[in-house]
Amino acid sequence: MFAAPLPDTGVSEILGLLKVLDDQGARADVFRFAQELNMDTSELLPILQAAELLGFVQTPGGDVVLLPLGRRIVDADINTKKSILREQMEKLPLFRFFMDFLSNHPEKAVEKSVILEELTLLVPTESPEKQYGTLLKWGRYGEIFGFSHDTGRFFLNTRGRRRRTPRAGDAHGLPPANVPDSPGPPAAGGEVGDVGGGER
Amino acid sequence: MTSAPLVEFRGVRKTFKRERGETVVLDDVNLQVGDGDFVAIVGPSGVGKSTLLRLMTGLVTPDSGKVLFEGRELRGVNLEAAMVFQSFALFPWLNVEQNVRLALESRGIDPHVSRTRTAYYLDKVGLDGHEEAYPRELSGGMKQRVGLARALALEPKLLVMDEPFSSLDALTSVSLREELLEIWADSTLPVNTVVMVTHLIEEAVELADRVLVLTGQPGKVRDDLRVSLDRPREKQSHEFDEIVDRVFSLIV
Repeated sequence: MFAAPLPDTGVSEILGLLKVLDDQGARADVFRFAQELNMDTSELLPILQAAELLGFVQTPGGDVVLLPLGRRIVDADINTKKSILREQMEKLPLFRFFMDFLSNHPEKAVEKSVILEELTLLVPTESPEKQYGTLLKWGRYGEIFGFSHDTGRFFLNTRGRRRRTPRAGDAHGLPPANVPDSPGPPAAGGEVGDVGGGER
Repeated sequence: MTSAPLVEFRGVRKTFKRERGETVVLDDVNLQVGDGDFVAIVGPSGVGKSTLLRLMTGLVTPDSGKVLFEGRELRGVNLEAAMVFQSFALFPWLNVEQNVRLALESRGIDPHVSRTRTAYYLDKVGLDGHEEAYPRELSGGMKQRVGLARALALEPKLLVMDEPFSSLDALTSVSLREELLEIWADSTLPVNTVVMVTHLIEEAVELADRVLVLTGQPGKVRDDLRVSLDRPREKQSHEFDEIVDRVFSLIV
């Protein structure tokens, strides 16, 4: 089983991209968009891929188009932005896999090396260190994962207000986002191939 | 007393000693910052913008003239002001939470209070989940959010920012500018007055109500432009361009 790799970029860049795209009327030619931002297309690409993976934009034939969810996150306040990002991240196969992986672990935490090993298997084409870095960066922002230097372990963030699975009528006043067809929580076991079932 | 502006400069002159003689950085600077203002300071490099900020924080004292805060002459460090730095200025050996708490506890704030306040302001800037991260693990954008949380947590009457976005990439600074405006407009937060130095005229016009233009050697306030465009501001609009052009022509 393989999972889609996480593009090597951060949340700030993704949010900035959505804001600029919104300012430009929600649609732009990718090449010209990069020029206006004074960026190389190759620098812009991972940010676009990330925004697409998270369901904020689509990139039909050389254009980039802001989707309704992308517009919503642009207009949202800081903490709603965080909630939307969290819900979107929680749908990604790689996130689902590690959420299940860690929640099945009695301490909800494992050594970093264990995560790296799993990443090597899940996304064999990518550098596991880089994938780990992005997983942690995004996961921290979404309050899904963390890493403690004191224990040297990667952990599932079980504190705070977040809960395991986004569901209809959940907190933060957000409409249900991509609720899987099957009612209730996702099937246990965390088969990576299954979790793509959240797509419409 | 209450009608006094938050910050007032009266004929401020500041010189720095050199090996031979001295350089006058600022001369006869007069300005006022009212409670609730968002003021941007622009001008060519070396004109004394950062010195002006440091005069407001009391880190630098004038050679002549007066810097007043709420009508009283500033003596020593201004405890009602907090600073956000271009370089973030975080302690690399402290994690995010410890960086913010240290700033509070070094001002004598009780550890119990500092703990809850740190959590509150980390949440406000969207940093929950990063408490135990170390600065080296964070992107520039996240580091600057820590810098902002640290300044906000001091609950200052005046937030001063020295080129806060200029070491960030273009898209990251777009998202941080947005968040800064949100925080400034949030009436539940005690900070409502911001003075920011920037070298980007567009940034000044996008964010501020007033743009102070500093020019000359030594630096003086050349102009004080009010920006009354509605927010969020349309950067593509004609009115926006007009103001940017005006500021630009004053500097060049």
